[in-house]
Amino acid sequence: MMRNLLLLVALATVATCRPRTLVILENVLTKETHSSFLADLGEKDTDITYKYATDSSLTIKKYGERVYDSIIVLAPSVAAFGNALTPTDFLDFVDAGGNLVMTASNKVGEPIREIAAEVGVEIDEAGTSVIDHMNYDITDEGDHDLIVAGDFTKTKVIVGESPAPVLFKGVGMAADPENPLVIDILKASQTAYSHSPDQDILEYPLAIGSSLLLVAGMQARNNARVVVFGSHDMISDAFYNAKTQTVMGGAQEAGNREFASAVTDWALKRNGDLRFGTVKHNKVGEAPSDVAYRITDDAEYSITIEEMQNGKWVPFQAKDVQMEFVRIDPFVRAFLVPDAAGVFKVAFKVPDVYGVFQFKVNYDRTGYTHLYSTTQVSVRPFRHTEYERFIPSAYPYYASAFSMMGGLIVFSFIFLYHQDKPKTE
Amino acid sequence: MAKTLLERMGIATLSQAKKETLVQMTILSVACILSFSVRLFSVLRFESVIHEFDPYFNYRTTKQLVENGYYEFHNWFDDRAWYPLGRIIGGTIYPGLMVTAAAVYNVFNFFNVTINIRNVCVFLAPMFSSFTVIVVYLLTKEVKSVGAGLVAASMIAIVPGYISRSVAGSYDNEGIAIFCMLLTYYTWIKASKTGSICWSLSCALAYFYMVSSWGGYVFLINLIPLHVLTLMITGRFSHRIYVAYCIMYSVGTILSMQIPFVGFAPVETSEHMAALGVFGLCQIYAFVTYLQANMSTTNFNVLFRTVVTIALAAAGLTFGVATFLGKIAPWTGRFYSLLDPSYAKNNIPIIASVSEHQPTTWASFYFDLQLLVFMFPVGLYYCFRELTDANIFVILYSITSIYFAGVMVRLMLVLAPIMCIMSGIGISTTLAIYMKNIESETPAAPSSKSGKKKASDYPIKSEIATVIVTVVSIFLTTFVFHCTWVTSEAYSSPSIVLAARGHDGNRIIFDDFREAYNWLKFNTPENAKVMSWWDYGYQLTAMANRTIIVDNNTWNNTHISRVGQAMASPEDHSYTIMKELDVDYVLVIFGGMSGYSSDDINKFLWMIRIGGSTPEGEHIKESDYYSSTGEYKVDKDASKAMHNSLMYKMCYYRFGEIMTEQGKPTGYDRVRNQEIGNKDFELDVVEEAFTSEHWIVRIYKVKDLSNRGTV
Repeated sequence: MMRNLLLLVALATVATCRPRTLVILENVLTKETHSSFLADLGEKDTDITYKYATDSSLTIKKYGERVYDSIIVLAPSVAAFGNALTPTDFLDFVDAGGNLVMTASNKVGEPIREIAAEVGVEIDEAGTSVIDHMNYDITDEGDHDLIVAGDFTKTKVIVGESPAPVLFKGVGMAADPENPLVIDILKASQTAYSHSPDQDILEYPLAIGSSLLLVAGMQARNNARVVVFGSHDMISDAFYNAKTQTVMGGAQEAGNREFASAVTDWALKRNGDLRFGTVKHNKVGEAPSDVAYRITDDAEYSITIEEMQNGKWVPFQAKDVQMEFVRIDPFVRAFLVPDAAGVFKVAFKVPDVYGVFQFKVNYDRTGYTHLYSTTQVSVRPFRHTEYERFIPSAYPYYASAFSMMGGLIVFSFIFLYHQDKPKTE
Repeated sequence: MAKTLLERMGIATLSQAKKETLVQMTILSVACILSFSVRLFSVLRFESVIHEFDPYFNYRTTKQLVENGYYEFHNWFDDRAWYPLGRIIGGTIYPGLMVTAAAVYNVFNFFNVTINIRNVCVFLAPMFSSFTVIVVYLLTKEVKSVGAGLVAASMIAIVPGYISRSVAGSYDNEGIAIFCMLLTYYTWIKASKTGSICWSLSCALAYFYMVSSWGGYVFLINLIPLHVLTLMITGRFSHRIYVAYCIMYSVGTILSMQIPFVGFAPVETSEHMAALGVFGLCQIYAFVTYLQANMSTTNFNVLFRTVVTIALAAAGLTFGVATFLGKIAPWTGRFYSLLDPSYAKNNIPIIASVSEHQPTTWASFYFDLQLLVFMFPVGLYYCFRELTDANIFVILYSITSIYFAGVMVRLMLVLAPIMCIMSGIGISTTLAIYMKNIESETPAAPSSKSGKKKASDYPIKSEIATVIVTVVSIFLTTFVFHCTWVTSEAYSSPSIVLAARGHDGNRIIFDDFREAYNWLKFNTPENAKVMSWWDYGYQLTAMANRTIIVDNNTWNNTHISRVGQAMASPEDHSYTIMKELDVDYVLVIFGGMSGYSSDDINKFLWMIRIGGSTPEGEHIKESDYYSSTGEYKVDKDASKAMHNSLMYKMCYYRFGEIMTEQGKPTGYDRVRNQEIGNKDFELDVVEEAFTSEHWIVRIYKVKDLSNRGTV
């Protein structure tokens, strides 16, 4: 009894507490060099735990459950994690629904590379950099690897309203063409390529131009989010406070801080996370019930959708959410209309086809949680008492049937009781 | 001693007629009890459960009827079957069986005899076979004599051809339909003999009961008009027949149209047109006879010829136009396969795939009927010897049913009763003739006092009679032994629980089906969808209570074809089909381990054929699944398509590691007697979830898409 009570209390605490984030630092210096990033992180309503990458007490799983909601790995060149954590442990963490943010650099270590490869992002070999002879920053030291990048993804929910170009110095990445889940958060410009600055180019680089990713994201099918920054430096204090100026354009404040903050918000599911609440469906004018629909009934469907915006659940507003009424193929497909409280509604007529149908909302937009709700209902045919009793077009048949019956009675009467008079006379 | 016993019971003092009645009643009741008890092997050996595949569905619907009443049953839309199409139960079944069972159940419970519905269902078929015994007695009595009736009744009680469909636990339509059919025949013969409206109406009611219980009523509604037509041609048509047929047809048809599944078929489809035509012909015939009686011969002839020519032309035209406009349903496939045994095989794989629809072999005639095969012509001979209206009816019945039984194994059931009736007549008449001769020997003097038929006297008359009577007795005894043996060995092993004999002679029970269905019931989500070949559909819904994709009611060929395609395609293609059908689990029956031969690999050819028979299944070609020498094989000669099909992989997954028989390599299939060709492979889109004790049932779970997008 006591134990149960304790368990309940424990569960209650877990349920109400804020999301837990683990920040894995490469070494003592990282806290200094990335203090602004960490400070921004501190304002994101999350309980942060700091650990060093080689810390032997590093744990991300206890009793088969993950103990953090998100992990931020600021340790690009780590060769092996402490406590014998392998890349598989991190991948299991993602498969269990945890979010993961990692940074890479041109001295990227094997664990980071492996994790990235498993989420569909291939990091170029150690020692290579993204080089751009056209869009390098003027403070570049001659290798043209300190570049200005501005080709952000169009998805506002990830990168914010109007991100300013950012400074980048790091390793290039390529998306796995087989993996449909990778999101190109920041792409290199047309003139960029990935190679070691000191060597002659003898082989084709891993990727060039806009197929070269600088920041890559991935939203898994269980909606866990992963972000890989190609540059460890781009979220450092130094880059946060720098200005960008290419040989072509004028100087402007680097957008690194805002960009990194927006992307982290997305990765920690503080933005673009959708959830649905009550799903209601009923016949028009009736209370919801478990009873099957009848063909050609008028039905209503509503679903409450909420969106996480900057860490707050607010009613979701969108015009492109559709509901499908599916039996193998969709028989009805209609736009749902939201009200101010985020209740999406539609009224429609059940098709004249019986079977097992599903109300299906399948809202899959880049950057947003994949919203998938199905509710199975049966659509039954008419009962024997529900057909029309008299069909107007059949009146001639009714008339003929009844006149026939009448005729038969009259005929029987005459046949039985009529006597021929002439014969008797 | 016997005498004293008889005296003590007061029987000796009874009059001759009463004694006869007593003997008749005793024989009849013993036959009834025998017919009930001989069908109980399966219940005694196993337990009181529904044993077969199909009856599980009937059982489920009966439960619905008992629990929720008739209207709920009538309007029942079953959303568990045929996911996601669903099935209207009330409109797609013959409700006679369920209504009968429910009625029996309610009657018993009204009198506070608490018997549960499952037991009613299990014992319904044996009970009705007892009723059949009585009806056969009555029918034969009408046709021939009381003696023939008693012999026929005793035979129908134990004839294997009928037992095969009416053992305890086989709760199927046929169980009561044979009773209904014979009852209709009996009332029809009564009606045609007496010409009474009462008997004709009874016949119509019996016909209604028959229609409500089995699709085989079509045979009946063609046989009776055929009888009428034959009587007309042979000049035996009379007012009695006219009254009997007109009432029976009109009332019977209106009643039969009240069954939702039958609907308007009696006035629209070609199977029923013969009955309608004969009905019309009756009116014309009666009218013509009336005219003939009131007109001069020459006038009549002129009128007759003109009218007949015009009528024939008009009828032909109407028929053509109606068929063209689709008013008369095109000849349905099942009917074609009756007329032309190769029709279904060539055109409709789904019909041909049912083993019951295969042509009957000679061996199975003997197996199911034994002595009757030889005594049948004897009875037929005696029927021809003294033709009456009733005799003509049984002759027609026997000739048509022997033809149909030759076309389809399943219709052996229709043949069995008439075989009994004919043999009953044959044996009874033979014995009656020769028994007299034996008796005539002992009191030699009194027999010559009649002296009418000197010609029939011949030497060693009595000896011949003795030999014949002995031989017939021996035959009858062997018949009893044969019937009991067949019932015990062949027809009382349920397909839900399998039994086999081990090499030390012990009975081994394979209870894999129930093991697997229970696993499904307790380990999968309640709305999980299970895909399997349609044979197991009814059982899955009834025993595992899970939604299934296709079942034994094979009404939607496209849907079944889709499942066939999923089974026959390579994994990645199957996956898209399974996702389309929302499949969560896949169930296969595999006999390679236990030697159970009616497993999915042996049915696989049908899946390929049915799968390839629709446009979506164009990629499936039967020839791709044969080895290079054109054989159906599973060893290393088997084709690539075979090795890569989902069915092959699911059946033989990890089978290559298993040693099934001593002295044979691993992965030796005991049904096909081959070593499988593809031993070492992994499954990509499904994962093994459950395999039953003897590997008969294997259940796989359909995997989700990979979480991180990479395979």
